[in-house]
Formats: sequence, C-alpha cells, structure tokens
Amino acid sequence: MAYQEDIALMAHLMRRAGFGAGRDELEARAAKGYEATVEELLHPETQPAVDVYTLLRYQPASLLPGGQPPMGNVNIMYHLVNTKRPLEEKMALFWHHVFATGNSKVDNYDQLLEQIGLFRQGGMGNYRDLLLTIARNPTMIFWLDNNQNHGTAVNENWGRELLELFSMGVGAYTEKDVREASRAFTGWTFETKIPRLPYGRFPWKFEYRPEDHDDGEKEFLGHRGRFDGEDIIDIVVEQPACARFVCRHLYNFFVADEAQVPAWSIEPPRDQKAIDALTATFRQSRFDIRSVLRVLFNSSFFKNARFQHLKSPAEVVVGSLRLVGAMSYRDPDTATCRCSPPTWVRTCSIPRASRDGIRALSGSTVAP
Amino acid sequence: MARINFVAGLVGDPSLPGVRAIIDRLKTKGTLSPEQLVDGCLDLLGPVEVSSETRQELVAQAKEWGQTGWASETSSKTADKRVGEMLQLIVATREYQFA
Repeated sequence: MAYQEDIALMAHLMRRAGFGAGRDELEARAAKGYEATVEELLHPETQPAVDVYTLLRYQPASLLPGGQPPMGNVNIMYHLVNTKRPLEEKMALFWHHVFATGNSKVDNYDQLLEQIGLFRQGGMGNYRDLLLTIARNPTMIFWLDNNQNHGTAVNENWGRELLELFSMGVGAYTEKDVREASRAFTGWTFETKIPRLPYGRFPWKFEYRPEDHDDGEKEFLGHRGRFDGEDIIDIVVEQPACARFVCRHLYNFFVADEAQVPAWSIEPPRDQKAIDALTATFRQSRFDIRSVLRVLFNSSFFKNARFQHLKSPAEVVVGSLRLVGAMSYRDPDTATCRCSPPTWVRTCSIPRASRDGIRALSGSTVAP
Repeated sequence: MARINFVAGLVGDPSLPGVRAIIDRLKTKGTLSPEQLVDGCLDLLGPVEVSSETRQELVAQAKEWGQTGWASETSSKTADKRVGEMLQLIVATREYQFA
C-alpha cells in the first residue's frame, strides 16, 4: 500500500513537473526517491539534451522555419515529447505563458524558437536576469512595440506590460510609473528589419541607440534618478508585489488553478500560506527560481494538490504522446513518409500530429 | 471534445508502444474480472482517481464484455481491443482532464 502511495505521489510530481510518465519510469523514480527525483528535475543538465540532429535529419526545415509555422511547431513538439529534462521544457512553457508572444505578429518563427531557447536556458535561473534578457529580446521588443518607443515620442506598450503582466500585476503601480518606466526603455530596439524578400527571414539582434534614449530624470515607484531599463528592472524585482506576483504564477501553474490573472488584484490567493512560503524563498534567494521550485515541489501543499489542476492543452497533447510512445523519430522506417493512416502518429507525419496538437494547444478548439 | 478525441485516438491503438506496455502489464495478471480490468486500466493510466459514480459506469460497461483474458490468440485480440476501449472510456471522463 505504501508502495502504491509512492507511485501515486511520483505520478503527481511527474504530471506537474513534466508531462506524466509511464509505469516503468514511475517505478524507477519511486525507487530512487521523491526528493532525489525533485533534484534531478531541478538540474536538467544532469540528463542528456534532446537529440536535435535526429530531428534535423528528418525535418531539416524545422531548424529555421522562418515563414513556415508548422515546421516551427514540429521543432517545439519534438522537444516537448522527447525531452529527458521535462521540467526544463515545462519551465519554457511556463515562461512562454507569462511572457507570451506569437507568430501572428512576429512573423518570424526563427525568432520565436530563439525565444523559447532562452526560456529553456534561463527558466530555472535568476528571475531578474531573465526579465532583463526578455527586455532585450528582439521578439519581445517587436511584439510590444518598444522599437517604436522613442526619446521624443514614448510608446508605453512594453513599459505597461512589464509592470502589469510580467512582474507585479495591476494595483502595484500608477499610470505615472508606466510612463516613467517606458521613458527608461527608450532607445532599446533591434537592428533595422530587412524586407523578407527575396532572401527570407534573417536573425534579429538587440540594439541600444543612445541618441534615441531619454536620459532625463525619472521618478519610478518612489525612486528618483536618470534611470535606464536595467535600473527599472532592478527596482521592480525588489518590490514585494513582484515576489507575490511571480510566486502566484508558479502556484497557479504547478499547484492548483487560481482565478485568472486580471482578477488577482481583487481575488486573494487560494492558499495565502503557500504563496507566503514561496515569496519568502524568492526574496531570500535573490530571485532564484530553482530555489522557489524546490520549496514548491517538496511542500505538503503541493503533495496534497493532486487533481486540482485542469490539464492545459499542452499537457493533454504532450502527455498523451509521451504516454503512448509516439513521435520518437527513432525508427528510420517511419521517416520515409510511406506509413499508412493508422500509423500517422509516427515520424513522417509529425507535421500532421503537430497541426492537430497545436490546434489543441491554441485552446481555440478545446472545450474547457 | 477535441482534446478527448485526440487522446482517445492514441490510447485506443494497441500497436503504440506505450499502450502495448499497459496491455502487457495487465496480461501478467491473468484473466481479469470487469472490476479488475477497470481498476487495472485506471492504475496504469495514472494512477487516475475517479469518483465512485464514474467507476460504476466504467464497470457497467466492462460487465457487458465479461471477463478479459489472453489465453488464446482469438481471446488475446479481443482482450487487446477491450483494454484499448476501456482506456478510451477513461480518457473521456471528467476526472482524466485534471492533473
């Protein structure tokens, strides 16, 4: 009975910190122990990376999909389904959920893959560093129009979303703070976009233009100075509201469903003590996400939250594909595009699998 | 419905290795009663926790099939199919939508 409970708890951990696991894996992990498994998940570098060469052997267009979103989807799905570092991919999804961008505007899937790569790389690192990286990320700059944020004509889109959606939430700042933050990010842009014809998409690169930066004095969240964007981020991460906001996001994603984000300024957290514990770790560790996740996964509030989270479309699609062992790319025969419809969830038909999966991922065709 | 159909289309295919692994584990238990088939599938799909009402509905369907066993080639094919169908019923439950 105790063994069965160990399996059930391990299954819970793997559903949340990953995309579920089959019985063989659960038994192996239960034998290894819960805390040891948490540590392994928190240190993805101890596990082999996804074999991208096999992906590129069969789907070379997925390397730089440019204007072919289905091939970009193949790349992301391949990582999600085949990773041996499930929490790394889960955190990439988490940050993509927080720092949401999309090809509908960006129209350059190479850049979206690059951004997902940043989330993989820094998703369990320091939140302050990740926020700064995203502030300098050309995909985000274009998505939120900071390339149109000039010293002589301020565009508040990035400045507002930084405070509202990415760090503190509504109610923790004033309209003046939005304006002042936006001023601090003037001149943060990327190299001039080249028309995509005749050579296709090209890599975007961050560029700081001092002549376009408003270097004047600013007053932001009670601080006064000639701030630039990095100063703004340093002030933001020190705010108690920032710790609460990030930790509530983590709780909502990994523990139990919360009210939707716009309601957080009026709806108290589902479990205030849990948020307090996560918040304390966030601040004590100087914004180290790995430390917060360690507390979260080892907590009783997490262990007792089984089946209190509605699976996201990504969890449904990826978890199912991993469970049944589809999309492995391991069998060359399945990559010859000769397989028949009953075996469509094999290598050659990943574009179709991804299309169906991505439709579900988008949520547009999925009943809640 | 899209998410249920997506998952059901996968777990109902006994040729897929993960589904095969579930069938092979159930096989080691010998001939299964309807209750054992339901509980075995719930266990190996998660374990998934379902309400007593949901379990009763699943058992009622399994009872229509009778016992599930792999004693002969013919019964094995039927048993594989039933396991696949039971997995499809489980992934269509309300409880399976939660993690």
